[in-house]
Order: sequence, then structure tokens, then C-alpha cells
Amino acid sequence: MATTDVRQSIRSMGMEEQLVTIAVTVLMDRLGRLEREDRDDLLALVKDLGTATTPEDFMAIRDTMVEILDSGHDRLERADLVQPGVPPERWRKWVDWVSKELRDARIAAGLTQEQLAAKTGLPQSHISRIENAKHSPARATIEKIAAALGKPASFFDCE
Amino acid sequence: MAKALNVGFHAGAGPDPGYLWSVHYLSVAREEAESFLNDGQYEHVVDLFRSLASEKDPTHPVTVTVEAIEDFYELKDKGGILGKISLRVYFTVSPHDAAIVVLAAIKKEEDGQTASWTKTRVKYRLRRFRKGEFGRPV
Repeated sequence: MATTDVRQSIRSMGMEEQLVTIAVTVLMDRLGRLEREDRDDLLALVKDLGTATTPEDFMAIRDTMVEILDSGHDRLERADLVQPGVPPERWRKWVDWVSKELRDARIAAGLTQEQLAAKTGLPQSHISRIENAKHSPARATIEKIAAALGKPASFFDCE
Repeated sequence: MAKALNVGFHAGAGPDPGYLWSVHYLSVAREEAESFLNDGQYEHVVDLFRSLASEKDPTHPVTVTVEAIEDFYELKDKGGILGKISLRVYFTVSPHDAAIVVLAAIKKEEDGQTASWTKTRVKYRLRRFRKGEFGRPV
């Protein structure tokens, strides 16, 4: 179609059709600028859209498509691991509770921290930090300790 | 006798004191985590990465669950302060910088395979990270 024909065609469109034309034009421009791997990712996401089973999945897929088309504007940040600050109350409550439960269960089993470390393969320093309410343990850590103490991991679930 | 002065400065490189690895994260990954975690749960996740940063090999840790997926890694956690949330945090490691680099975070309703779209999202960010498109950490 010649440029003149395209102009006449657009002039004859209604507002809605013009907006769709603009959207498609912008989209084609952005697609054209993408590298092949990024275009392949977009096509994979289009297929995923068809199989999304929840609204959350649908939105997550859509967000990823937008991220690729926009090329993102993200930056890397560095986490400060040593600045203690004031921990959130919810974290404090959980850590105080689980530290006491784990310490009481270890003592009831007649084990020292060193012996528990040997049984679990966890560093003794890690167990110490948990029992002193300085660290929120991962499920993997709780499962190892629970198994060594002959208890189910759910024993240490407070909620 | 002159007093000894302890003068410290933050060079911005290398792990924090007491850790073997630094932890870097994409701003979008932090926003993702904050969208479904409360402040206490978010602090727990920071603790998980403190654990990881203390391990000799954060891809094969003893204190948290990590699995390899293609050319990145998935940290999994659930229960405790997380309640019903099944957490997944995706990362890579940059041995040159001694850095763990967090690329994405999602919550899952149930245990199961990593969704195709999640892998696509992580792989896309990993490619950009490897090209240096996110710059140096600030």
C-alpha cells in the first residue's frame, strides 16, 4: 500500500481504530529493536498466556512481556548485611519464639550445641545464632534440627 | 602517647565483614518480594541471604534449600514466619565479584515445578546482568 493510501486509510478510521493502529505501530517498532533471544522469550510468554490458570499468573506473564518490551530500567543494589537496625516486630516475635523452642528441645534431648551440630551437619555457630534469637532459620535448618531431635518439623511451626 | 585511630571506609567492593559473599539484588526483585511479604517476612528473607553469604559455596548450602535450574539457582523456603507462602528467590553467583546476585522473587501457592514464564523472566534478567546492563551495584 502506498504512503498516500495509508494516510487516506488512517484519515477514514474512527478514533478507536486510530488508537489500535498507533499501538500496533509502536509495538512493531519495539519488536523490531529487540534481539532475537528477547523476541523468542516474548513468543514463549505468548504461549504461556494461553495456559495461565490463575489471574496472578496471567498478570505475571503480562508484566514480564512489558518488561522485555521496555528493556527494563532496573539497577543493581548492594544489600547491607551487617547493619543491624531495629528488626520488625513480627520478625522479633517469631525469632524469640523459635529460638526458645529449639533450645528447649535440644536441652530436653540432652544434647550440646556441638553435638547437635555434628548430628545435623550445621555449623555450631549457626545453631548458636538461632538459639540466641539473632537469626531467623530457614525451613531446611529447622527440618535438620527437628530430625536430629526426633520431632516433626511442624513441631516448630507457631502459626 | 598518641591515641591509635581506627579509620574505616566503605570501599563498595568485596563481602561485608564476617561474610564470604556480597549480596546484590535487582531493584525489581526487591519490589517483587515486598509485594507479597510483610516486613517481618522480608527480614527473614534477608536472613536467608545472610546464611547464604556465609557459606563457602552458596550453590550447595547446608543451611537453606537451593536447587540449580538451567544456569541459575532457586532458593526455596516455606513455613515458620512465612506462613502459607511458598517462597522462591532466583539468583546467580558472580565469582569475580564474590557476589550473590538476586534476580527475581515469587510466591507459589503449592510446591511444584518452576513455571515456564518464571524461567523466561529469570533467564531474560540473567542475560541482561551478564551483559552488564544493570551497572555496578550502588
